[in-house]
Amino acid sequence: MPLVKIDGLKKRFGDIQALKGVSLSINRNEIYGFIGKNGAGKTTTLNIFLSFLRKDEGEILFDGKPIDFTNTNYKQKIGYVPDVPAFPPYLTAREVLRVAAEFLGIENIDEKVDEVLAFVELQNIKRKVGGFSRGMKQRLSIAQALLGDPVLLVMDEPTSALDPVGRREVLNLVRRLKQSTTVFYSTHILDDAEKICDRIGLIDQGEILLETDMKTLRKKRHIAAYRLSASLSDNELKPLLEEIDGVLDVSIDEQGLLFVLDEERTQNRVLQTLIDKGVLIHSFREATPSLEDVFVEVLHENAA
Amino acid sequence: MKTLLKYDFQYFKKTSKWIILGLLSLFLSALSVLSARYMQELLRWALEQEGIDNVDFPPPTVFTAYEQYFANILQIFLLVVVFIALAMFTQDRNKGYATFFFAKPIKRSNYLLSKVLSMAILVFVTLFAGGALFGYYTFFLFDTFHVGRFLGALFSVFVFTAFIVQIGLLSAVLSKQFLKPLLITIGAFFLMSLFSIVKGGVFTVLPSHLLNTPYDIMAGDIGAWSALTPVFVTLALIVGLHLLSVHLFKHQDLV
Repeated sequence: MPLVKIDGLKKRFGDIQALKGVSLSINRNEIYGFIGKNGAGKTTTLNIFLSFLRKDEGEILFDGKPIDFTNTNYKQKIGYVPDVPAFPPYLTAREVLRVAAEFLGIENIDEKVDEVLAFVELQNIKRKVGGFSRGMKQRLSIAQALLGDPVLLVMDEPTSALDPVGRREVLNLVRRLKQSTTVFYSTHILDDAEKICDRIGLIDQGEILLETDMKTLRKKRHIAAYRLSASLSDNELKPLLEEIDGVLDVSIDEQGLLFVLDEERTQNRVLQTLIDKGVLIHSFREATPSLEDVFVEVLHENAA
Repeated sequence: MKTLLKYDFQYFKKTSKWIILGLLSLFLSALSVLSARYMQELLRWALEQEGIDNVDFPPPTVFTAYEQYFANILQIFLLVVVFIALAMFTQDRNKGYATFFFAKPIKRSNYLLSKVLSMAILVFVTLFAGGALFGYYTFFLFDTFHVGRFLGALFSVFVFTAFIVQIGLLSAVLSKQFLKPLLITIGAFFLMSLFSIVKGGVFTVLPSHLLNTPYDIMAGDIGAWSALTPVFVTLALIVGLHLLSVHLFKHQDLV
């Protein structure tokens, strides 16, 4: 039984149908990447899951039980990290955590607060939250979310407002949580999802387009993309490749020349043509599709 | 509930709201007595400086002090209470702290009740502390003080203040911003002030009548039932408005 099961979730804001029947499931002890562009419906889904927003239609099951908008008991088992965390600025990190711990009904408050402060490395910070950087607030947000030993950690774009250092810190924290809890990780930063997620759900315009685990995703979404280096420069090779029948797209990125073929068999024709033209091939290899490649491909498929 | 109250009192303490309201109450109490006792002497002295020395002022009485005190409390103190209450009611949603609280297993009804209760306790304590100082100074400067009547009058002021605070809470539930509920609440207060001018019929049992009640009680112009009826009606309205606020808030989108 999945820990979270969302079925046919719909939400409308005025004329805009924000969610058009979102269905997904999250298994225990996995990091589930909820991926989509800004405005795709990720935050709306999370807000409904946390009863910040009412749903129009659909059902949400958490731990096998339906979530009721006015019943807050299920939140005992959930930790939530928003995209831009805000705390009363007149409190210190320890005071924020004490408040959160009391709301959660934790008994050994001091011990637990010390534990999570150490986990996010804020144990020596004495100043008030009003003077915290965004990265520190995000770490504090993770700390308060972990206080109640949650079964599920809901993270809404936790790295989107951070600089590269803060982003790396947050991703490292999430990696360390991998063994102990389930994470519902919403993001539009595909690189983040690729680094930490076990499974992904891809949402666009309020619809789930794809839901699968990362390994299957790469296998299923195999793109006939290749990288080539040869005796000619990338800029000299590009027009040669573009002339070959079956070569669909040729581009140059930071890793070099990348081209997509209509089918795998075309690679023989490409190599033969280049050799016939006197080009010395240094290397020819299959390019592993990134999550971004898959994301773009699925969006294009859906648009088509 | 206990945790929510603790948090709300922590807010008063950390943001110095309890000091602001407490000092204001004490200041207005002292100012009321002193101005009642010495204002005429000051005016006489000021007029003498201008060469006008034939103006006769009636001697100040303890009732002048009572009038001065309740006028100050029902205007300045009440206005500051409204500002503090609305800042408190709107800040969590206005400044984005709401998701921090409501991601936890907190009942929305308890959340609202805690806000109103903590505000009511703050008002009660600061009001009656100021009242005690006022009583002391009044007895010291006028040699008399009507303790029983004063406590009754002060309680009617407290009930009226709680009513205005409750209107503030309802308007804060309806609008997440600070300014709109503030204007609605101040507007409601001015409406009450207008209604208080009418002294007959149904108006004598409405909350607006509580603006007259303190003066009537201190002057001994009002019977127990006449004083208590608007108090009970106002308490009932407070409960009704609170239940309405809770009902709206429980079914409301937070973000």
